[in-house]
Amino acid sequence: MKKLLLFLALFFLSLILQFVLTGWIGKRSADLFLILTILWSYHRGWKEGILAGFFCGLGKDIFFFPLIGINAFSLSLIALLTSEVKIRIYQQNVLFFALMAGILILINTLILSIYLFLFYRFPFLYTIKSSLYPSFFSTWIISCIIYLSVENLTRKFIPQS
Amino acid sequence: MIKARPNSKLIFTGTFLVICLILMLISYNNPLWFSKLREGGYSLGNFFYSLSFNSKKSLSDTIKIIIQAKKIKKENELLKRKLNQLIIRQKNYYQEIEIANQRLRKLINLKKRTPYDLLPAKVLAYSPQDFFKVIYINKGKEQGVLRDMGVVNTEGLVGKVVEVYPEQAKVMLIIDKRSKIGVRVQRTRDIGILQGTGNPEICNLDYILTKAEVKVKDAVVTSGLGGIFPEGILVGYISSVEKKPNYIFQKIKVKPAVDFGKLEELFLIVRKK
Repeated sequence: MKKLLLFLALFFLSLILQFVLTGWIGKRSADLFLILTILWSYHRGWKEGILAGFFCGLGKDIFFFPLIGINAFSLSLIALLTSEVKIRIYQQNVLFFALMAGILILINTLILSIYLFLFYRFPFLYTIKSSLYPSFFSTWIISCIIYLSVENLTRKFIPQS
Repeated sequence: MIKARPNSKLIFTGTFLVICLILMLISYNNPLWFSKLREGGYSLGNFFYSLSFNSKKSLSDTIKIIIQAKKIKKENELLKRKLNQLIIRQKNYYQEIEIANQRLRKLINLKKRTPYDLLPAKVLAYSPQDFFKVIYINKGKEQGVLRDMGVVNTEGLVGKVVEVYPEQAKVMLIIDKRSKIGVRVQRTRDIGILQGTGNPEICNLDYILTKAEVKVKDAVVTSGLGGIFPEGILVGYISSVEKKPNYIFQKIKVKPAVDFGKLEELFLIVRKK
């Protein structure tokens, strides 16, 4: 119940911030739902990660996309990949996390570009370019900053033996 | 953390992915099925969207006003003077002209006919996704907005309404890649299709025959053939023409008349019945 409440709080916070950031800085704003999905599945495992990814994606689809389902699909897959990477090559290192987050953001962009190409006949390279630059950098940097903050907070409040 | 066998992981993930695929297909084939869901979402998001958009605008306006206070004061005095002159003219001169005009119209039995009315609207927000060139406006179903209504501003054609919600609507700009509009080169009367490129500075003008003698800087206006836009609305100006001897059509680029980075006051085209 606590976890659910925490997720709902983070979901609505991301939603509000996404609206506010979009209004202020437009396409430069970070993808907060993607960040939430990556961090949640990194810390909470694949099952909760996929659930989080699905609902984050659904939120993104309802508010920001013309069709329902694609972001839910993409973020569920991202959540699975995140947890798999953590299980297989777990390293508590910000550089590792940064590399992983960067690759996952790229994969998310690739999935969205394929979808736009298939459904709307948007040129593949055009969508990759316009969705990567400049939001890729803000999403990537913010996800690393949040990762570091969460790690520091965990170390501070849950001392490890 | 919940532990599971690889099989259950596959089933769990697969279930969600299949649900997503079904949602995508339903949403693609029947976009209106989800409109109620979106309506709820937009009513919730409307507040935050307009809050952030308006707060940014008012903050930048305030800063501008502070910087330009002196200039504005002078301008204000000048405008007041001009307004007084106009009031005097209106009271003493224009009424006479209007009455004379009405009398003459009656005489020649001519009725004033305009094919459409304009419903004013304001921009609420831009699309967060750069590849979709859409904006949200503050007029919706309750104000009489309908799907496919044309949207213009003082500079020219802006786009058309693609989704309508109770108190707001989504407008697809003419620079969106999905946008296709029937247009005419004003000087030569050649008809073509204007397609957005995603770039606010360039649109492609397709299906203009190689033999057509269009030139750079020719005005492009709506043709009125699609039934959505009335004819004659300025869309943009031809910025480049490329003719190849063995091709049927020319490769023409058009620079839109509207500055899409500064959209604020818009008008929806309401067709008269």
